[in-house]
Order: sequence, then structure tokens, then C-alpha cells
Amino acid sequence: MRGVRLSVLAAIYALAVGGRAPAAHAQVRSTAVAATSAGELRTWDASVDRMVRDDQLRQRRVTADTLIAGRTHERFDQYYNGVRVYGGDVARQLDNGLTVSVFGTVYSGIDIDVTPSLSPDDVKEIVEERSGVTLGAEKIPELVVLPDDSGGYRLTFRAKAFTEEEGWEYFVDAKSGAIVREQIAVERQSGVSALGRGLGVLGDDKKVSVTSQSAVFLASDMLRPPAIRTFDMKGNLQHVLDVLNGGATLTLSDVATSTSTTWSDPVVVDAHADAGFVYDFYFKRFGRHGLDDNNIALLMLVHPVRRQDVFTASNSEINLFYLNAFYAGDGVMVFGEGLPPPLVTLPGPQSWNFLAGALDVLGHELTHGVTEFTSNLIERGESGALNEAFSDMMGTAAEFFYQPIGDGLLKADYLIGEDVVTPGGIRSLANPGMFGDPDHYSKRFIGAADNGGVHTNSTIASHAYYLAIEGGTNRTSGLSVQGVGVANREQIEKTFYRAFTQLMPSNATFSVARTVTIQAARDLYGAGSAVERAVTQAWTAVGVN
Amino acid sequence: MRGPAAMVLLTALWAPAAAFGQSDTGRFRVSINGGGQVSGNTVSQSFSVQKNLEAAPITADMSAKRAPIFDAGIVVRIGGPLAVGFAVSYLTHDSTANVTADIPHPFFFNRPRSISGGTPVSRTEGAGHIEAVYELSSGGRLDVLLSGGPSIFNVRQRLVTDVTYSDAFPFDTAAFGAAVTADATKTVAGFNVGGDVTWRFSRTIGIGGLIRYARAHPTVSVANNSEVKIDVGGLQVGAGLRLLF
Repeated sequence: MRGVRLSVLAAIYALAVGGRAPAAHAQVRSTAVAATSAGELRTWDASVDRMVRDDQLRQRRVTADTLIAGRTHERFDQYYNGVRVYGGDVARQLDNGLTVSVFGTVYSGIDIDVTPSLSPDDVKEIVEERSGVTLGAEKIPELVVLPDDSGGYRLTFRAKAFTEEEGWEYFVDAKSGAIVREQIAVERQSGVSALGRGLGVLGDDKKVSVTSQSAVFLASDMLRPPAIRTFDMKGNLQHVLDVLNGGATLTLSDVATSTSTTWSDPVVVDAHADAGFVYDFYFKRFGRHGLDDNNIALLMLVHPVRRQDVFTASNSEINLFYLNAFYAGDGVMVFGEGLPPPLVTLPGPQSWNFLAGALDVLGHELTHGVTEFTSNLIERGESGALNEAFSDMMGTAAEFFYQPIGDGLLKADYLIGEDVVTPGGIRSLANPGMFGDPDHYSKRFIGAADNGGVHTNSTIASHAYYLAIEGGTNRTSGLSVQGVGVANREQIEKTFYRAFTQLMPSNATFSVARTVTIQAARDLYGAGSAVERAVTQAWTAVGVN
Repeated sequence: MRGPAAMVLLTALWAPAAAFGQSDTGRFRVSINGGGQVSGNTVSQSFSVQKNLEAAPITADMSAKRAPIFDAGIVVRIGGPLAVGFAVSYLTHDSTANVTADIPHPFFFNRPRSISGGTPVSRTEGAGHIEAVYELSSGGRLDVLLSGGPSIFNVRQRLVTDVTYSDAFPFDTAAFGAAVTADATKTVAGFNVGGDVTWRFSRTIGIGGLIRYARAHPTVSVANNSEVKIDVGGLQVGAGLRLLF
């Protein structure tokens, strides 16, 4: 199914490229900031302060460090004449007011008129026409300066739309109305089918935190700090799309219910319980309060389609709503239905259970939410691969946090989605080559499909994460890594969490990821620590320097 | 110290036989005693209640080793050294039960959180003792009586039926709040054996001491609990006034 999926994506991309707009207006010059030494810090600290004074940087968020007392993290978005520069941002780490690190991407040489010819409503019409969906009143396109692939800057409107086939992010030229970039907006569990008290999808007995109301139980968690609600979309795909596109809102009638304390729908059981587990994992491990660290609601959408309809569904529908789970933004997760037995996908063959049945899948998707509210890594190219890699790392970390180590169902391992995509899952952090994914930078996918191979290339970073914990030898480079060991996995989890949520800029490359994770290791465990050594060796082993 | 003093003041009598020899005493002997009951009575509860979809095992242990007792009785001579008697005794005892519980986690099966605390509990025992009495005449101012027979106990025992606790997200620990208690009552037959010694100051009045062993083993229960077998009675020792007429 993976092959099918990639080919579909490739076709969609060809379409997108065909719709490209005229040339850009200025030469893109970007500066990757990775300041950790005293000299660099002085320079960039002053630069950041100046840019803030000049309104070239605006503070997006300040968060207290939950792992190191006294530390705070500032995030700035770059602006040009009052318009946000897409992908331009800076993360500054302070220790009691003193700057410890600055990472980011800053664009320069921007010289464009920022007065749009089109109104947001005009842009909505263009996007609606292109996507075939009607956007709700709340879906207002954002005016941004887009560093264009063709080498210049464009004034564009950015809007998202969800169709039956895909979730798309559109960049519409604010002068001409041309669609200059069209990229997949859903940060998804690539190729993973949908998931689902009661018994979970794999027959495991679970508690679900729900709400009792008028003799009916609602899948709405009242015990945890954030609202966690699971919605049974009852196979009404149009309603799902309306919700995702702002044309409809989720109501009480959408909330999954049970007339007794024993819940009979395993998909609801797993989605609801596991969402809570992942929230708890982030809280207990990192002191984080949900996706936005402010307890944003977690809204889990299950049964977006009906399994029995798979026989009449389009390939793209199957890819997105049967064999997939995705984070749709703003705390909303959608879990696919899998395939009714005995249907399998090839190569393999692999069976696809309800995607909500795998803890690592939930961890993966919810981590996309964390990324959305932190580094906001752009789901494209290397930054996209890092985005996917971080989701795999944290999905795996959640498994190890709750499940016994071992092979097989409901066991903690380094496979992704193995509990629902059987046998084997869809990716391996330990041996990416098992699925044809790269374990070394030299083997990275450089095509356009899959937003530039964001899922495929994610294993370069996630394999480094694996090596930093477990140690071992990279199969391609032959370089050995002295990992911190299983008993100390928490150190690597915290290091990567810190790097990806506090230090990482949105447009990071693998090389930047190396720098920020090493910095995070130093921050947490000291320069020259075993953790720093493991992280450094791991990145070197996977060919990222 | 106030207890023993009160006991002495409340000391009950028993009906001495002969004031100066058996033939000199009246037919009736009334005793009023105060004293204490010594026993190894313990109550151990072990039961479960449902919490967070699982069984929450609760244990409660309390002991009533000593308690002040009030006793009053009458003995009626029926011929020669033989007499019949009836006595009542009453005690109340307050103690603290040690309560432990394993409270299931709200999110996970088989991940209990242990809590413990104390709660005040009480027991009251009222008993009626029917006695066959044999009087050993001393021939002087000292009377000695031996007795034995059935007893009827009515016990009211406060038992733990549940616990309250507090917890908060992430719910990995819990704190003991209080024990929920309820009184269980039971009437049960037992036995008694004992003796009484009286020192007469005159024909009609004296002081005396009582020793009695009375016992029964009722089973009590309250809501949520399985039945709990308890011991009532024990070694009762008292002293007090004796009136003879």
C-alpha cells in the first residue's frame, strides 16, 4: 500500500507543480542561526533584540523550562513590514535572563510590496474552487511572505482545506491569485490505517475516563486537565470534512456514547484511553501540559468512514481515511478505519486494523500537535522529515513508558504502528532499511513526493535517536555509537524533547537538528556528558554533521 | 486515673450471705460493682468495595484489651448453700481502628495506590448473666460464692464500611481521607463462670470483689462487609458494695 500511496502523492504533486505561479520578486537569502558559543551568542542576542525593536521579530510565545529550573524559552516569528515571514523564526533560550542559545532561520533581502490586491474572501473563493470544499467563516486566510522555491519572496495568503482525499495547505499569490504552493497539510501517520472500557482493538481491557449525563456516558474525559473528547463520526465523511474545514462544528451529538459503563466500541476505547495516556506521558516525563502546554482540548475523531464502504471508496479516500491517521491542527486527530478482513495491502501482505488501536500511532499524531505549538517544523523537506521523526520518537517513547519491552502486540519496541499494521508495522527506528527507509543521510529520498519524503527521510533522525539510546553500529556508515542504555532512555527522550520543542527552528535541517540536540544534551546533562557523546556519535553515524 | 476512682465509687455489691455466718444473713444479696474487663478482643476486618471499576481491598484492625465495666446483680438463696442469681454487666469501649486500603487507579487496571489512616470506633457490650450459685460459708465475716451459667450478650460494634480519599491528576498517589463506619448489633448466647468474695461490716452491708469470665463469639456484619467473627466478654474484675437482706 505504501507504493500505491506514494504514487498517488506523486500524481498530486505533479498537479501542484503544474499550477505554479509566476516568478518571485526578490532573491531569497536565509541565515540559519545556531548560536551556542559566547561570541555567537553576543552577536545574535543583540541581533534578536534589535530585530524585536524594529518589529522584524515578534514574540510568539514565552515558556518556562519544565526540565531545567530558571530557564525560559522565547519564540519569535519574523515579520516584514507587519506581515509574517513563513518559516522565519527564532528560538532563544535564557537562563535567568542570560542567553544560552539561539537557533532559527532568518530571511533577508526581502523587498516586496505587502499590500495585497486580493481580500481574504477572494482567496477563500480561490481555495474553495481549487479544493472543492466550502470553508467556514472562521477559516480566514493568513497573509504571509513566502520564501518561494524558485528563489524569491512572494506575498501570499495561506489557507488550509480538507477534501475527501487529502488535507491541503495552499499559498495563494496575494496580487495575482495564483496558487504558488500547494502542500499536504495533514501531519499524518503515513500509511498507517485507522485505529479503535471495554476492550480495545487488540482485546486489552482498558479504563476510559468519561462523563455521565442523563443516563448516558459520553466519551469526554473530565479527570484530566484538558478536555479530551472522542467523537464517533459514524462514517459520515462529509461531516468530517465540514468539521475540518470549519463549515460545521463538533456537537454533543457527535460525541461517542455508551448506555452502560462497558463500552462496546474498541475504537472509541482505544482512541479515548490512549489519548489520555499520551497526555499523561508528556506531563509525567516532561512536565508538559498538553499540546500547547496550556491544556488545549484533544478532539479525537473516529469512524470517519465506514469499513464496509472501502469497496466503493477511491484510492485517495482509502489512503487518508482507512489506512491513515492524521493530526488536523488545533488539537484535532482523525483515525482511519483500517481494512475489513481479509483485505490486505501489498507488498506484505499486511492487515490493517483500526488505527486508533496503536499507542505509538496516537503518540505520533499528538506529537504533531506538540510540534505545531512549539517548533512548528514545516511539513516539507528536511524540516518535515524532522517533524515526522520527532513524532515517531515520542510515539515510541510513549510505548516504552507504558508497555513491557518485547516483540509482539502491546509490547514496546522501535517499530511504528506494528500493533495495527500486521505483521511488522510501517517504519522501524532500529532498522529503517526493513521498510526501504534510509538509515543514513546519504540514502535520503530527494524526490518531490510525500512533501519531499518527509516520512521516508524521517528515519535518518529517528534512527539517530535509536542509536543514542541503544547504541550499535549504523549499517551504512559502519560507525558505532555508545548509547546511554535502555535504563537511561529517559535522558535521550528529554534531550530530543527539549531540542525539538524549545530550541528547534521551524525550517530546521538535519544539520541544525544535530546542533540543537547536542546543545540540549549539554543543557541537561553537561558538556562532555555521556548523553552528549551518544547524541553526537549517533548523528555522525547517520551521516549528519 | 479518673476511671478507676469512679470504678471504686461505683463498686457494686453482691448479696452476702450470713453477716456473721451463713445463717445470720438474709435471703437476698445485692451487689453493685465497678471494675474492668480484660480481654484480648480484637476485630479484624478485611473486605473489598468497588472503586474505579476494580475491587478496592480494605482492612481495619481494632483491639479492645481493657474496658471499664459496670455490674449489678442479685442472688436469691434457695436452700442451704445453693442460690440462683442474675447479674447484668455493661461496658463501652472507644479505640482507634487502623485502616488500610488499596485504591485502584482511575486510568489503569492493577495499579493500586495504598492509603492508611485511623478512625475512632466503639463497642458496647451489655450482658445478662444467669447464675447457679454455691456459697462457701466462711463462718465469719467473709463470704465466698462460686457461680456459673449462661449469658446473653448484646453487642454493638462499630465497623468500617468504606473509606474516603483524595487524589488529583495524575492520580498516581492518593491520601487517606476518612473511614466510613456503621454500627453492627448482635444478640448472642454465651457462658459465665466466676466467684465473689464479700467482707461484711454488719449483717446487711459489706464490700466485696467479683471475678467472672464470660464469653461469646457472635458474627456481625454491616453493609459492604463480609461477616466478621468477634469475641465479646472476657475476664471481668470488679469490686463494690454488698447489701444483704
